[in-house]
Amino acid sequence: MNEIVKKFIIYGLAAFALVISWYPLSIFAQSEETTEAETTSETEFETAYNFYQTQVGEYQSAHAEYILKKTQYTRFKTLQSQQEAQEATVKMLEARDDVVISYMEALKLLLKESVGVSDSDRTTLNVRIDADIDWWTEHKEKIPSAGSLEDLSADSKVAQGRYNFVEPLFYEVMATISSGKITDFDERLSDIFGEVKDKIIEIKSEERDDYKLSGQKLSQLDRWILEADNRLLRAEEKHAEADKEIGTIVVAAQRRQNPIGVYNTAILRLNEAQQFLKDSGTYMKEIIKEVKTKE
Amino acid sequence: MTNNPGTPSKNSNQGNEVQKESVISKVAGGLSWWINAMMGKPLPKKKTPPPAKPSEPSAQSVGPEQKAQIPSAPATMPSRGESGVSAQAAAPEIANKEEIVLPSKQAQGGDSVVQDLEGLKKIVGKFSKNIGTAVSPSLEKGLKSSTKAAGNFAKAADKSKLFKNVLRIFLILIFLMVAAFVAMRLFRTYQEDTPQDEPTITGIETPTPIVFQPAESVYANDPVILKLQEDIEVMVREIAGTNIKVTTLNPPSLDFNVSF
Repeated sequence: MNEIVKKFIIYGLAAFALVISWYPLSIFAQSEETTEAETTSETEFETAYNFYQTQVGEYQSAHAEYILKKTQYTRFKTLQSQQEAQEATVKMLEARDDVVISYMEALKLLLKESVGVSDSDRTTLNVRIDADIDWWTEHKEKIPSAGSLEDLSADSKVAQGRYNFVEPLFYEVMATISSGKITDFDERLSDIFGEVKDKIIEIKSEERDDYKLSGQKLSQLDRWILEADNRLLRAEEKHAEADKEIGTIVVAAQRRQNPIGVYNTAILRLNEAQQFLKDSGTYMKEIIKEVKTKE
Repeated sequence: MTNNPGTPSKNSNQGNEVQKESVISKVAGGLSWWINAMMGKPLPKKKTPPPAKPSEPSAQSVGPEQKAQIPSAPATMPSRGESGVSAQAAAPEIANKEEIVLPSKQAQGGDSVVQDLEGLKKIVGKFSKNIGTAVSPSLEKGLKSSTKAAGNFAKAADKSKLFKNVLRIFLILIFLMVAAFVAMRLFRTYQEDTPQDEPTITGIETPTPIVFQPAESVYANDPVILKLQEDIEVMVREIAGTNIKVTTLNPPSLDFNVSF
């Protein structure tokens, strides 16, 4: 009997010690996982952005080398200078393709982080970006196989055409990210405004004498609500105009129009929407201030 | 000056010479007396006049203008050795010294000595005449210049009055400044000595500005209202502080012009 009690006590204490020692470890492990999950997206974009900056630096040095060798070849026209010029051109073209690829990777991660962008838009843009990443990767792999300087010039021209084709996509992605910010503000502010309106309705339906507001104050509150609502509607209108402009960036490029001009117009509309949202929030503050003030 | 040596006159030639001699001797005597007085030498109490000579001028024959000029000479005369006039008057001074010493020697010595002295006196008299003739024009000039100098001195005296007044005002101002400085130092010292804990009331009392705070309603502390207020403020601040445009990731600038 005594041995059974002793065993029970020993095994119980051992189990208790095991549980006690395991619990903090599990909590620590959970917190580490959470921290890693929270910082993953930031780290990904920052890593991609730093890699892009590195690629830009390498491209600039390769381009400087290419200019030097090209000048030497143009002057001496020797086989050696031709060979050196060809090697420098290959390096430069590869570095240039790396810059485009790393830029699109960073843009893709920025789009992934951005708020307010619908999943459909994000997916569509990601597919288009991925397609172009594939194209530039293939183009980069083909570059060393060029047999002459003329082949390299032809490869560069192909890349130039593709870049002109893909550049509107860059501006479209950036404008979509900006539009997503306005969408996020609009949604959050509309939610707050809905709560404010609900609270005002509740106050209006108040039957207690101390909690009743006068007709004058209620009419003033209705006026502020109307103004805030109007500003929200204006913001949505401007936002819609901006979205329309964003949708025409690629089309404008296909029509040989400047995509940067369309992008700037869209940003201007988004800025106007931002200002209307700010005004709407100011009117909401006035509503709260009016409610808190005694008649 | 009525006696002009350069003016010829037959009747008064001799008289003029007498007057000149008397003037010169008087001027020389005056100068020697003045110089002796300045040097602190004892003056002779009794002066025995030399034996009277018809040609020797007397002090009474001097004209009124000359009398007026003579006393002015010592006043304007510079100190010993400073001007040519005093140097030129050295010889007559010696002669006068001999004249002064003469009575005592007459009492002590015999006739030969007296004769020698008289001979010496004659020589000295002649010498003094010549010197007087030579010195008189320059002396007159000196007297003129001394008159001018006296006028200048009078003007300078007038100016000096103004200067004195200015100096007085200046000194008064300095005194006032010093007094003010001392008063300020004393006042500061007194202020430093006074304890700082004691409050000193300066100036006029001004009303404290009161920020208008409207009375709160029953909804002022409502949790829903407070939450909405905080949410709205955060939202407005976030909207105002956000840059809509993406500025971190602009498209790269690349060179596509590859040609040989």
